[in-house]
Parts: sequence; structure tokens; C-alpha cells
Amino acid sequence: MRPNQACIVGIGQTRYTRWGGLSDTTELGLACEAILAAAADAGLDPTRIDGLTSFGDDRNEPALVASAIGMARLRLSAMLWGGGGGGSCGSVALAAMAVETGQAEYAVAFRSLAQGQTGRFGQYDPHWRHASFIHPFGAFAAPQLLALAVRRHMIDFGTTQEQLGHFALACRAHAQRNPAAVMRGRPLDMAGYLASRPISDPLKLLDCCLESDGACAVLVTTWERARDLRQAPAAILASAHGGRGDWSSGPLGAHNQPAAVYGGTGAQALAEELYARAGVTPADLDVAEIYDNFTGMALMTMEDFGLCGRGESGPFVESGAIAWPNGRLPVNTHGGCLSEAYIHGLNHVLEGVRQLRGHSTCQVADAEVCLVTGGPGPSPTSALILGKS
Amino acid sequence: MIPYLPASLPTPAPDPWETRFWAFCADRRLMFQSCAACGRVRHPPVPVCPHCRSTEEVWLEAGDDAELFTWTVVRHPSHPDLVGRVPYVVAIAAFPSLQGVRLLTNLLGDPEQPLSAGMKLALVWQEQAPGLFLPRFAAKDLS
Repeated sequence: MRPNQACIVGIGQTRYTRWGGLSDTTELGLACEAILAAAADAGLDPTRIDGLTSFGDDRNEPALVASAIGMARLRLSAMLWGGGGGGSCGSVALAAMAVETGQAEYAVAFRSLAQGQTGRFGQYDPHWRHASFIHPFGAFAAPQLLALAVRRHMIDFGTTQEQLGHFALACRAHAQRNPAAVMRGRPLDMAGYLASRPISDPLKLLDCCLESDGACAVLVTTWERARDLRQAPAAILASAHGGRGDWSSGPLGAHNQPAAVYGGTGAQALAEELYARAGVTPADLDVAEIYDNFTGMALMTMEDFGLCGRGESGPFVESGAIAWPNGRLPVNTHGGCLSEAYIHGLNHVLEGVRQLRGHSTCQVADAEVCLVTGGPGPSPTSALILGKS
Repeated sequence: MIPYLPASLPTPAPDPWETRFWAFCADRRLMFQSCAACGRVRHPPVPVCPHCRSTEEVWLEAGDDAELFTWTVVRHPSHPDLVGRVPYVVAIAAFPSLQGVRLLTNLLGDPEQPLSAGMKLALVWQEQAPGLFLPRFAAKDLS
């Protein structure tokens, strides 16, 4: 590792609950709790944090966070564009770019949600992209819009309802071992999945991620500074964010993305760049934490990042490949957005770090390389490849 | 004809370059923006051709060749005015004669009707709110 290369030295989180579950604090309070937990995890005096990053229209302004946690200086305040969780990994990438270029020394990417106070997702939003072309037709929410893309994946590749279910079942099984998971203690089988309430065909309730309250934070610094801290750092082998130039509002908008990649996430070029920069291939991955806003979108993401071939994600999950401990490539070992919590996928970055530290509750033996992806559907999306130090 | 969805749903609030699309709809003509220089068609409308950067536009009328590209049967309402109005079908129509154009729309008729990709669709204009004409479609076999 180069002395100035970025790495993750601390992770922190609050309690995760169902949406509306945390009513005795605010999003700002949750953000502070998670950031201070990340600093404590790293053994860093929080005064020395000098950078804050987030994504997707975060409501918690860095000036308020900085003064609340007692930062001496605010040298970096950066947020990635993009709806929902597209920028989850990108917020870590912004922190990494800042510490590598000397514009901050200790930067924290954070996400905080108190949906009981700020409103749930999945409801009518008058500011939606290309709203004029979708709202008059009764298309308002992500499951309705993305169901169209998932249906097309079924048309093109023969993907089945049960195959979508296998992804949900793997996440739910992994969550049974994770004390932080909202769905711990609620195991699921295929009959239970198939019986779940239809939302927007082919998506059922259990194809949709949770809605949650909670916060998490990821502390980034350079390799050189990491030597003075408590944890073995997780190397950021590569980070990338972006999308196709012709993606436009895509499947979360007017569905005007190119026909050739319609039933996909548009992230193939991003993935190729990410692997090339990290110097690894999909075959080198030991574990992957895939943003799962919806089962079908997670399947498309796995294809676009080369975990399986284009159109092959259905049989891939059906084969047991993503199930811990015996699958070829365990995915969402914390339970994902479907069964751990919906902290817009920053919780997936925390799980990637735990895997490389050897601390996951579904620990992959000798895990050395982990892929983490951001929300599929919007552009930009983002991704990280993390490595064991 | 009773419109497929309630008149109280949000109405279009078009950007300046989108207004012509809706003005044509008011005349019950389904027209798409294309580039006057290179001829490529695009939807939704944008102020510049992404292929040749021309800002000159011409409008092309959709032929009677719409096909069902994909669909979803919405069963859980996400807008208060749609409570009690589910299920309904949101669909994407494609036009072989207008490569690259996909139109988000509704498919009229029984929401439980058997559907398949590539089904031929017939355009049906519906006045959802006074003066607001929306391009919707019905399966040709059933229309």
C-alpha cells in the first residue's frame, strides 16, 4: 500500500429499527451517534475528524454535524448526486479522494434516517425526475417503476418469481445470525415468500427492501495515519461512481435508457473500470455486499458486476451460490437492505469491513476481497472493492 | 368514457421543451421530438440532440404499430387518490417505426387479462382532466 492510499479505519452504527422506531432522537442525533461510534472504533479523537461526506440529498448539514460532534475544522463537505442509495459507496469514494489528495485527514461518510419524522419512501413525490411522463399514468414509486425493468428481465431471460425469492431468502437467512438485523427472529421459507402481498407485479412485499430508522458511518484516512489507530484497516482497492452517459432518468424515470441494457443497471462500464483499478477480477471476490432495493435489481447488479453472466442471475441464485456458508460467493452476509436494515446501503460498506476484519456474523473464511455496490436504477450509482490489509 | 385513473392525479408540469408534446396530445396526436439535422428521435424531449448537438427539432407522428414492451400490475397504491383504485396496469409501449422511443402509459381493460411482450397495441385517447388528453393503449385483439 502507498502511504497516502485511503483505507477504512473505523465503522459505527446506531440501533436499526423498523421505520418510525427511533422517536426519542433526530436524524442529526443518530448521525452524531454513528460518527462518534466510528471514531471510537478507530481509536481516534473525534476532534480530529475534518471531513464529512454523504449522498442522495442527505438532510443533515455538515456544519451542524461538525459543531455537534466538536470537530476542530471542517475541511471537506461533499455529497454525491443521485437518488436513494446510488451514492452509498460514492460517499466513501469522496472521502478517499479527499484524504489521498491531502484535502482532509480523517473523513467520515455517514447516512442517517429517522423515517418516522421525515417521511417514508415509496410515496408520491412531486419533484420526481420526468414526473410529467409518469405521474399521470399512476406510476409514483420505485417498486412500480422498477417492476417494469424486472418484468423485462423475466421476458428476456426467463427469470422466475422463485428465483427472485431465492435472493430474499438468502438475505433473510443471513440476518438470522446478525443481532443488529431488523428481521432477526423472523425466518422465511419459499412458501412464505410466495405468499407475501403483491405490490407491483412481479414485485411482492418481500422483494422490496425494508424501511428503517438508524444511522451508520465509515471513517476513512490514509494508510500512513492508520498505523496510529486501533483497527487493522480495510484497504480501498478501488472506488468508482457514475453511470452511462445515455442513462437519463432510466428505470426510475421515463424508462428511456438504451434498449440493449434495459433489463439491467447500466453499470457494466463502471464495473470494468473498478476491477481494472483494483487489479482484481470477479473470480477473485470472496464475498459481495450487493445493494438490494429490490430482489430483481440486485440480480441485475450481480450480472453487471460479473458475478455471473448476463441473464444468468436467476439460475445463479437458485443454485445456492450466494448463500452463506456453502455458496460459491456469499452475498449480503448481514442481511442486506431486505433483512438487516435500509440505511441506503452504507450498512453494506460496514459489513464489507467486518468481513475483512473477520468479524461478520456470517464470516466467510479467509475473506480477502469484497465487492460492495450502491443503489441500482439511478445514475450515478457507485461501488467499492475492499481488501484485507 | 370514464378515464382509467382519477382526474385528481397530478397533471403534467412540462419543461419548456416538453410543452409541444402535451400540446400535440391536446389535439389527440401522439408526436415525438426528433432532430432536424440527423433525424434521430428522442423521448422525453430534450433541448439538444445528443448525437449531433443540433438544437433544431421536427416532430414525428407515431404510427399504428405500438407494441407492449413490458408492464406491471400495480396492486398497492402509492398515491392517496388511488386507494381503492387498484389493480391497474402501467405499461411501456415501444414503436418499431420509431427506434429508441419508449412511452410509459396504461393498458386499458381487465388488469388480469393475459399479457405478453410484443402484443400489438391500439392507441386510445382519454381526457383524464378537462383538456388533459393522455395517450393510453388497449390490446388490439380485445379492442
